[in-house]
Parts: sequence; C-alpha cells; structure tokens
Amino acid sequence: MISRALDVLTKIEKVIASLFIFVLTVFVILDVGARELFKTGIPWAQKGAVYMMIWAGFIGAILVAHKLEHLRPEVADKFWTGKLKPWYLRIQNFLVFIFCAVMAWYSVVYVIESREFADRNIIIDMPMWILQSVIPYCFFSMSLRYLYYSFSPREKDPQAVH
Amino acid sequence: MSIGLIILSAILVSLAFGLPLFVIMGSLTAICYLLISGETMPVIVGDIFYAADKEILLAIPLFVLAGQIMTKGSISQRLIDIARTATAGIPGGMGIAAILSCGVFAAISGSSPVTLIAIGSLMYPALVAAGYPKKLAMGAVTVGGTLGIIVPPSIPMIIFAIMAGVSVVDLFKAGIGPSIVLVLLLCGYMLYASPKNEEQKFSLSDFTTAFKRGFLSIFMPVIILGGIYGGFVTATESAAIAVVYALIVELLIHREIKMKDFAMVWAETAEMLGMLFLILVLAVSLNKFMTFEQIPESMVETMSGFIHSKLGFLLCVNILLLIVGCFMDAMSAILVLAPLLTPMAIHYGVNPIHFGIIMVVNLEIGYLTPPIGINLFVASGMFKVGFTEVVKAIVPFLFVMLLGLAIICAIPEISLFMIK
Repeated sequence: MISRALDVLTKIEKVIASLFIFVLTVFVILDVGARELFKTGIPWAQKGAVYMMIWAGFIGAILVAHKLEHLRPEVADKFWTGKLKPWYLRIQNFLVFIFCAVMAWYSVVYVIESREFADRNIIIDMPMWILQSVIPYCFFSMSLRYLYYSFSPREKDPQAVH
Repeated sequence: MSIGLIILSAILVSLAFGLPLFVIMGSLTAICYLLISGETMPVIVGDIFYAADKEILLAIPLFVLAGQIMTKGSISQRLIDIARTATAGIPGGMGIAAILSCGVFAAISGSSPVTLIAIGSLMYPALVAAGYPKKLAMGAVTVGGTLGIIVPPSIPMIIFAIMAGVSVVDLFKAGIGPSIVLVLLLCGYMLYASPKNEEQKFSLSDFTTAFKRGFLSIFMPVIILGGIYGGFVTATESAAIAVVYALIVELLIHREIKMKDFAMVWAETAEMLGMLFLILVLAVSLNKFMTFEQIPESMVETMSGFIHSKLGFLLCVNILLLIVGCFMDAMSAILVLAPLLTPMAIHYGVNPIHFGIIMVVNLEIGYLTPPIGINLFVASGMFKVGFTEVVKAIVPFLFVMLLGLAIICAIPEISLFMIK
C-alpha cells in the first residue's frame, strides 16, 4: 500500500522533473538562438532556466532517493553481512530520514521567513518563496522514502549504473 | 566535547553506516555553521538555495541530456565501424579501434560506465572472436571506458571548475592534450600486446561507407569543442548547441531513437542531475564556510612546514588522490577535495587548471582500482566474470595509465598549451 503510493508519487515527480528539464532546455536554446541571430538574448530566459534547473535538480534528488542510488561510501557494506545486513540498512535509512526531516523542517522555516520579507526576483518578477519552496518539498518527500525504507529495508539495484 | 571531535565522530558514524554523501556534507555544513559561525539552520537552507542559483550549473543537465539523446541510438556501432575500417590492416588494429571508439564515445556520452557498456558490449565479443585473449579484450574496453571523464566535455571537470573557482572553458581546453596522450599510450599498448594475426585488409570503400554512416556522430564533439576552443561560445552555450545537434541527428537523420527512449531521456537527465545536485550545493555551502574561516589558507601554512617543493607536493597529492580514488567516486572526491587542495597547488606553483587535470586523471584511474572501482563492477557484471578476473585483466593497463599520469604531471604544457 505505502510502497504503491510512493511509486505513484514518484511517477508524478518524474513527469514534473522531465518537464522542467524540457522547458529549461527550450529556454536556453531560445536564448542562445536569439543571441546568435538577433544579437540580443531573452532577458528572463537564463534566469528562468536556472530556476527550472533548481527545481529539476531537487526533484531529481527525490527520484534518486526512491531508487536508493544517492552516492555514498560503500566501504562499510562489506562488514555488515548475514543477519546484521537488514539492521545496517534500517539504521542507515533511519539516519538519513532524520537528516531529511530536520532539513525539511528548517526549510519550511526559511521559506516562511522569505515570504514574510517579501523577497522577489526582479528578472522573472516572482516571489522568491515560491522558487525556494522546492527545498522543503524535496527533503519532505525524501524523508518519506527513507522512513519507509527504514521499516522495509532494501538496497539499490546492483545493476544500476551511474 | 571539542568541535573537532564532533566533526570526526560525525564522519566516522557516517562511514560506519554508509550514509549518502549529501547527508555527510549536510551534517558537516550544519556542524560548522552552527558551532563555529554561530549561524542558524535556516541560514544554511538559504545558502543551499543561493549555491544552486548559478548559470554555469546549466551546463551540467544540458551536456548530460545531449549525451543521453546521442547514446540512445546506434551511435556506438557507427563509431566502432569507422574505427575498425580505419585501423583495418594494422596489426592489433581491432584493439586500437576499441580504444579509439571509447575515446570518441566518451566525448559524446561524458560517462565512463556508459562508455564501457555501449562500446564494451559490442567490442568485447568482436575482439574475442578475432582471436584476442579474453583478458586483453576485457582490459581494453574496461580501461577505454574510463576516458569518459578526461575527454571534454566532462561533468567532473565542470564540478572541479565550480569548486575551485576556475574557468570551465579553460579546463575543457586543457583536457584535450592529456586525452590524446592517454589514448595514444593505450593504443601503443594494444599495438604491442595484441595478436599479430589481423586478417582484415584496409579498404577505402569500406572506410568511406562507415564514415558516411557515422560522421555525424563524430562531428558532435568537434562542434562542441570547436566552439569552445575557438572562443565563440561559453560552456553553457556549447551544451545547448550540443542538445540541438543531438536532437537533429537522432530525430531527423538517424531516426533510430524510439519514442519510449526519447521520453525517458528527460527523466534520466533529471535523475543524473539530482544525484549531483544536493551534494554539489551542500559542498558549495561548506566551501563558502571554509573560505570565510580561511581554512584552506591555514592548511597551506601547515602543509608548507612538511612539504618544501613542488615535486614533493605533486608526489604527495598524486598518492593521496590514487588512494582516495580507491574508496570514493570521482564526483564525490572532487567536491570534497578540490576546494582544499587547489589553494595548496597554487601555493606550490602548480597552475590550478593543470591541477584540475591531474586530479581528474587520478580519479579516472580510481574507476579501475578496487575496492570501489565502478568500471570493474560494471565489467564484472557485463562480461559475467569474477571481480578478481577483471582486476587481473586491467593490471597492465593500469601501469600504462600511471605512466600517462606521470607524463601529464611532469609536462604541464600538455594540458596548458591551448590556454593563453
């Protein structure tokens, strides 16, 4: 049930991240094209693309967390074998959950402060807190995964190549 | 408890439980900001956001995307066909073709394991069928695959440029000489070690046919690098041009990419970006703290008491990086070590661009050294052979790579000849 819900959420996040990558690519291409052809770029395109990249990057981090493929030192894996292995994975995922949950909490605090200060990006004319809100979402969504994995331990696919 | 002890404990606990690097980086950043600078957690979050708000970072998803689009079609077969027909008739020609195909494919894909899979899956059976010993064939494609991070455009080079505060374009320019040196050395070894029973004769018509089928693929690195070297475009602009070129070639000319694969490239690019992104922004934030607290400067001061010459520094740093490469992947090592080691390199008179290349070549060798050599694991899984067997196969090539590293370290002009 939880696993299926997380899979559905991942699919939605995958579509959103793909769209951000697509749109940022279009923005940069249009900007470069305009600069080459008309000697002047599109003023908001680069900045818009950067924010798209930030959103795509943070949501991409959730997708990687779902597959447990975040880069990590794997030296200790060799020492935790047999019956210890599931406990190793549980503790590992639970520690990551704590980190993500703490980051999610303080990111919410930061975004609320940013909203109160009414910071705006003048190039794309948008409140900063909207652009920054991907950070608490990223850590919140990752914390859900790691909490689930700390109860239902699993490893990354050994065939995964990155 | 002193702050140093807290940091050490955090690192040891992280290593003991194999925590992801973003957690290690994040914890260290939080400890430093909270306990040393007296900042609050929301300030760290703000730092993370502004660390990500950099236009140069756009080059990363765009180069990854171009590589993903180009490598979904049958480009590897086209490149191999060109390399094989070009080297036909030379004793050991097929082995040389394997290395050359890896070199060009690496420039397009930017990824070492992907190069190994794409070229190795086609070249290894062909080499074995042509009478090459399995060990030699396996070693050639496993080592050839590592060229992905030294042949520009390379994501680790972009990461180094961001962390060390040097020009991406200069690093890309500096990567071309060392890439040629390594490719030549590997080709030279293949020439020496390959069986001398090459039956295929050189045929101009075969070569022309293969070239016609594959020249658009070869042309991609030429366009990217030509624009950068000519000073016409920035790294981000050349990445955008690479994407447009890849889309035109794969969708309109080759027409081999399936719609399902085309839809997947965007998500795969987001995942690749996501894998780097958190670590990168946290590392930039930690780097900002270290710069503010003048930690690299005090490290330089301490080190200069022990190491008195440029040669001594280069020896120590190469040994350190080779050891680090055994335990960490290239991206992580660059994110952690580049901000600390680059000021030392400058202090000892090593050009920071040259140092970036030295670091990347060392970490390229790390792809081949146990226990955490990524290409060794990929080769072991792909060729269905034991890990130890792969390690044995790459040993002679490892010496060739170390020779290349020594040459690249000793002659800075190989890296710097294109930089004004």
